[in-house]
Amino acid sequence: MARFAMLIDASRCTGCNACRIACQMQWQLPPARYYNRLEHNEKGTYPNTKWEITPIQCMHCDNPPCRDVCPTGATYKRTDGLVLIDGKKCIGCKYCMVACPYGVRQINDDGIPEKCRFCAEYIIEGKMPPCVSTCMNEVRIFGDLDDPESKISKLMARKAVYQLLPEKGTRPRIFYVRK
Amino acid sequence: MVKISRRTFLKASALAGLASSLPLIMNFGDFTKAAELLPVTRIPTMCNGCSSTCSKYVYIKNGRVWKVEGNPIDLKSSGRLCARGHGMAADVYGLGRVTQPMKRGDDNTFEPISWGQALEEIGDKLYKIIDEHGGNSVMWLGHGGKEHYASTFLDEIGSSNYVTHYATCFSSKTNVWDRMVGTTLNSDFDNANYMLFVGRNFAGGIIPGAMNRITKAKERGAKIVVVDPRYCELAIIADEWVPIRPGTDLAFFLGIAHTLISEKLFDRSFIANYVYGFEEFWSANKDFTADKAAEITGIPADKIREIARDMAHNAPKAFLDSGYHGLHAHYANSTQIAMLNVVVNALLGNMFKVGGLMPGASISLGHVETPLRETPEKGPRADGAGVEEEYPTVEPGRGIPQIVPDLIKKGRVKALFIYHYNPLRTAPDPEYQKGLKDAELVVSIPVDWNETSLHTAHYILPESYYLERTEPPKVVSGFIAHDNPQISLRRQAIKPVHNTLPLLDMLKGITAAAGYYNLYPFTVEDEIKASVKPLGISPHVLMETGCIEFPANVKPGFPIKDGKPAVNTFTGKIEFSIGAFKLYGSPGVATWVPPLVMPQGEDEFRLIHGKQPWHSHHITSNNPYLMAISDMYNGTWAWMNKGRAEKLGIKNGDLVTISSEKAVKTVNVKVTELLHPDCVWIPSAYGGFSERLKTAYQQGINYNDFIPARVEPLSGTVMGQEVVVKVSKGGIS
Amino acid sequence: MFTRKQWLTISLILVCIGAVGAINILLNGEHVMGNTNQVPWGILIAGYVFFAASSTGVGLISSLGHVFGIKRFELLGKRALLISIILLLCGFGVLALELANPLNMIYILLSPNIKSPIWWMGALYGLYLLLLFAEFYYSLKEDHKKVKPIANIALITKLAAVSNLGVIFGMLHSRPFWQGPYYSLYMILTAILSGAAILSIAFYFVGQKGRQVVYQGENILINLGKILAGALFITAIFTFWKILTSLYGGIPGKSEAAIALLVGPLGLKFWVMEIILGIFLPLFILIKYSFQPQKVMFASILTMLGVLFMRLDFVLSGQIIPLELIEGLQITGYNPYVPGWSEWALIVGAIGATIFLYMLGEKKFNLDVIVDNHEHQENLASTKTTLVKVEA
Repeated sequence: MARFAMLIDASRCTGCNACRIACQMQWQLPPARYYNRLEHNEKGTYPNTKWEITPIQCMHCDNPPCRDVCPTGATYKRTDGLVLIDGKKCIGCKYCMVACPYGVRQINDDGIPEKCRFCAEYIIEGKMPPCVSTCMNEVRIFGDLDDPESKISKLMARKAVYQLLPEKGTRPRIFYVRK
Repeated sequence: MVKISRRTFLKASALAGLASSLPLIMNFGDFTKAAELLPVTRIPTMCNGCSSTCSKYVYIKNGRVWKVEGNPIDLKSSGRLCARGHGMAADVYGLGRVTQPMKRGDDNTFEPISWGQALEEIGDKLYKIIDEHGGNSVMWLGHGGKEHYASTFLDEIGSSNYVTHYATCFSSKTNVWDRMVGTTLNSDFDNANYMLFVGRNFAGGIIPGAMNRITKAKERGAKIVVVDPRYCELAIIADEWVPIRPGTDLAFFLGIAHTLISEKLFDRSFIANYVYGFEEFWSANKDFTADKAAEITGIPADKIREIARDMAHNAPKAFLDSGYHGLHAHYANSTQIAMLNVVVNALLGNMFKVGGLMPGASISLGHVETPLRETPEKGPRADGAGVEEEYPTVEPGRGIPQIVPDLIKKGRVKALFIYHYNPLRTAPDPEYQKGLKDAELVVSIPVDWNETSLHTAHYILPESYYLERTEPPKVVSGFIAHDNPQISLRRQAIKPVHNTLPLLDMLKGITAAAGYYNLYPFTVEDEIKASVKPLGISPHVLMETGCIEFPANVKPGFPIKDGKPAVNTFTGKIEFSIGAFKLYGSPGVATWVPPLVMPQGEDEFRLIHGKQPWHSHHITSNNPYLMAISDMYNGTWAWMNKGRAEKLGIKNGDLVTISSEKAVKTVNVKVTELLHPDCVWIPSAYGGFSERLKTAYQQGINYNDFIPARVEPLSGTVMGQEVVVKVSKGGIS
Repeated sequence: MFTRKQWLTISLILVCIGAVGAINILLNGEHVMGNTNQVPWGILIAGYVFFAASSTGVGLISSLGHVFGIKRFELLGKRALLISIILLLCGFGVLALELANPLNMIYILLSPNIKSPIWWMGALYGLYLLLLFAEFYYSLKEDHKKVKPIANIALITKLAAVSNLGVIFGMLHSRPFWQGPYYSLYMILTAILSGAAILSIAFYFVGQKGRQVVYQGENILINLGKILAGALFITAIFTFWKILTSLYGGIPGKSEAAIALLVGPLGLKFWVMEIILGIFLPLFILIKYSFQPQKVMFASILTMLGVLFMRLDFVLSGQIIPLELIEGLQITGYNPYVPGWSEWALIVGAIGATIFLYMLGEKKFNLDVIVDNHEHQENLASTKTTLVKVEA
C-alpha cells in the first residue's frame, strides 16, 4: 500500500500563486475558493530583513482532528493516507472546519467543507497534482513514502524536516524542509 | 443516485415551477464525477498571459477550456506555468471581452455593427485619409508582435509609423545593446556560479523556465545577489538583498566597474581583444570610486567592492543580468545604466562564455512567397525616432508611443490603429493620452474593453482570444541562454466564443476595402507550411507538439570572421563608446548622470513600481481569479518603509493620499521593513478606469497617473520613475 | 402589559420575521450568512446554544421539584416541561438552518462516529427530547408513577447533554480559548442561569393570570430570583477567572481571544451586553428590590438579553483569532465576522415562536399544578397533591 506524502521546501517559494490557481482550474473552483494558500512572514528590521512565504494546504494528517469530530464519518482517511470527504454523508455542521488547526477547509456551494484532496483521482494514475507540477521553483515534492526509490523518500532521508503545529498531535503528512 | 443538498433541492424545486424541463442541479462532487466521463482533448498552443508566450497544453472538456499545463519541451515554461498562464486561460470566458465589432455613436456610446460594415467603413475612411494626407499619416501603435502583418500594410501605403510600447518598458536596453554589442545576450543560469540581479525581478516578471533554472542554480551552490530598492520576490531566494537608493543604479555600476579596473580584476585579454573604447571609458570615470558610488547609492563601499571582487573571482561564470523593465525606461540615466551593464559584463570577460552571457540559439523560418508589389517611398517617422532633428538616436524600429497625442495635434497622424495596446493605462498621463481620440480615424483592436478602446476608439474590432486563433510559428528566444533552437506555435483550441476575428482576416478586409487588392494572398495554414519548410519538418508535427527543439547550434566563443572580432557593430568589437551618440553631441561613453528628481522633504518619496507575480501589468487585472489573489494578499496596497511611515503617523492598512503634479490618488498602504526609505512602491497592475472592466475598475492606483509624458532624448523612454510624490495620511474626500 | 391577543400578534410578527430570514437562508445558503471559512460558526450556532442550554436549564430547575422533591418547585411542573420542549424544538430549528445538509442527518444513525461530540449532542439531546415528551405526556395524564422514573433518567440525560454541549468546544485543540473542561461546567451553570430567568418571566405572567405561583405565602419568583442571583454571581466569578487565566502568560490564541473580548472587536458586546446588561444590572435590580416578583421578571429579561450575547461572544471568541501556524508569524488583526440580517431574523423568529407556542400550549393543555400549601412532607406523593381542573 502506498503512503502518500508531500515535502515542501518553503525557502524556494516566491509567492507566485500558480499552485493556487492551477488547483482552482483542476477542480473548477470559483475565484475566491482555494485549496492552498500562502502565509507571508516579514522578519527583521530594514535593511536586515527577510521575507518568508510558507505554502499551506490540507496536511492529510495521520491523526486528523477533522475526521475525529465528524459526526457522520463523512470525513475519512483512506488507507494510502489521503483524508477525504464523502459529500453525501456530510450534514454541513462545519465542525471539521473549526477543528482543523491549519484552517484549510473551504465551504462549497453545497455547504460541504472541501479542501485539498491530494488529487486523489490523479495520483493513483501516477500523475502529479497540479500544485506540484506547475511550480516553477519546484517547491513541492509529492510521492510515496513506502517506495524507497521515490524522490520524496530519498529527499526525506537526506534533509532535516519539520511539521506544522506538531504539538496539536495531528501528525501531518506534509513535511517542510528545515531552513 | 444524484445527491441533492437541501439548498440546491429548494433552488431546483423553485426553478422547476418555472421550467420543469430544467435538470436538477448537481453538486460539485457529482459534477466532477460526471465530467470525468467526458472525453478530454489536449491541444498544444502558446500562452498569452504575458509576452513571454510560453508553450502550453490546453485541456478541453465538453467543448470548454478546462485547464492548462506547461509544455516541457519549451524553454520558456520548462513545463511549468505561472498564475497568469492559468488565470488568463479562463479569461476566454471573461466578462470584459468585446463580443462583436463596435462603432462609437454621436452620443459617445458604442453600437454593435457587423464585421462587413466595420471593415468597409474603416477601409473607406482609410482610403480618404491616405488620398488626402498620404500614407505616412497612418500609424500602427501596438504592444509589439505580429509585425509582419502590420508592416506589409504600412509598406503598401508608404508609412514609416510602426510604433511599439517598448519606450514605456525597456527601450534603453535594446537601443544600447544593439549599438554596443550588436545583439542582446542572455544569462546562462545553468552554468553560472555568481548571479547579480539589479532592478530585475524574475520572480515578479516571471518566465517560469528562467526561475526554474535560477532555483536549480542556487541548489547547486551558485550565489545570487539582488540589488533592488524593494525586497522583491527574487530576493527571497537570493543569498543577499542589497537595498539601493532608487535612481542611483548607474552609480552602483560605475563603482563596480571602477573596482574591477582599479584593482585590476577585469579580464584584460577580453578587453584588449574584443573591446573598443575602454581607455575613453576609463579616463572619463577614473574618479568614480566605490566610495563615491557608496555616497550616492547608500550601499557601503565595502559591499560594492565585495560584490565586484566576488564577481571577478567567479568570472567568467558570473554575470550581471542584462535586466528588463526595471531600469530601462524609468530614469534620465537609463541609457547610461544599460551602457554600464554592457561595460561590467565585458570587464568580467563573460560574453559568449559558458556561465556568463550567451547568445540565444536561433533558426531561420521560411516565409510565404508573395508577388512583389510596388510600394511608395516612406516619409519621415511622425514620432521623430531616428529623425535627425528630433530623436536621432532613438530606434526607429520601436518608436516613441507616449507622445502620439502630440503627433495627432500637430497633424502628423490622421489614422491610428491601436493593436493589443492600452496606452491610456500603460503609458504616462492618461488624461493626456485621451488625446488619441482626436485623430480622424481611431481603430482599436483589443480583446477586452480596455481604457483606450473605451475612451478613444471610433471603431473597436475585437480580435479572437489567443485560445481561439492559430498563428504562424515563432522562434523561441529571450532572457535564457540556450544552445538548442526551438520553435513554437499558437494553435486554436476552441471555437471563438464571441463574434470575433483573427487579425489577418481583419486586415484582409480593411485593406481590400481601402483599395489594396489581395495584400495578404495567403492563409495562416500557408504561412505555417512555408515557415517550417526550410526546417525539414511537417506542419503536422508542429501542430501536434506545439514546440519543437532542434540540435544545438550555439557554441561558446567570441564571434570571429576572417580572424577578426565580428559582432554586429561598426568595429566588430564591443564598443564602450557609441559613435552615434557622439555624432549627435552626447558623450560616447557613459558617465555619471544624476536622476532628474530627488525626494527631499519628510513627506516626499520617489514613486517606483514593479510587477506582482500574478499580474502582467494592467491586462490581467480584470481576471477574477488573479484579482482574488490580490484581494486575499492586499495586492493593491502601496508599500512604504516602516521608519518613514512612523514619522508620518501612518500605520499598516491606513489610507494615504499620494500626490504629484499630475494626480492625487488614495490607496491603502502596506507598512514594511522590506523597502528602501526613499520610495513608495506600487504594483503596476492596477488603477483600472474602464467601466466595462468590472473586476479591474477602480482597484488600486497606477504609476502612470503620476507622471507626465516625457521623452528621454537618447533612447526615447518615458522616465517612469523620475517623479517625486507627497504622501499624507488619510484619503481625499 | 399587553393582552393575550396582543401577545399573540407580537409573537406572530416575530415568527414572520424569522420565516423571512429562514426562507432567505434556505434559498441562498451561505451567501446570506455571516459565516466565513475563517469563522465557520456564527450566530446560529450561538442561537442554538442559547436555546438548547436554556431548555436544559429550565429542565434542571424543574428537577428541583419532581426529582429532588422540593415542594415549592413542584409548582413549575408541566409548564417547565412544556417550555423546555418548546425551547429545544426552537433550538433544533435554528440548528437545522445552520446545517447545510440537514437531510443527511440520517447518517448520524447509519454511520455514527462516536468519537464526535456532535454525535453525542445529537444522541443526548434527541434522547432528552423523547424523555421530555414522555414526561409531559404522563404528566398531563397525571400518571406520576411513570413520570418519576422518567424524570430521574431525564435529569441524568440533561446534565450529560448540556455538559457535552461545552465539550463540543472543549475538545478542540485547534482553538486554545475553548479547549479544556471549563465550558462543560460553564454550560451547566449558565443553563441554570437562563433556566431561572426564563421560568421567572413565564411564571410572572402565569401569576398575572391568577394561577398559583405562591407556595406558603412566598411567590415562586422570589425563589427563582434567588437562584438567578446565585447563578449570576457565580457566572461573574467564572467569567472573571476565565478571562484572567486566559490573559495570564500571554499564551497564543488564548490571551488574544481574551483581549478581543476586553478591548477588541467583541468588547462592546462583552462589556455592555454580556457583563453590564446581562450580569451586573440584573444582580443590582434583584438585590436592590429584594426579589420583588416584577423586578425579578425585569432582571430576567435583561439576563436573557445578556445570555444571548454571552453565547455569541463565546462562539466568536474561539474563532476570532487567526490560526497561528508559523512560528514567529505576527498575526495582525482579527477574523472578521458580521452576522447576516437573515440570521438575526431567525433568532428573533425563534424567540417569537417560543412565546407563540407557549401561549398555544397554555390554551391547549391544562398546565396547572396546585400544590397544597399546608402540607410539610418532604417527599412528593401524588396522593397528597390536589389537582384542580381550571376551566380555560
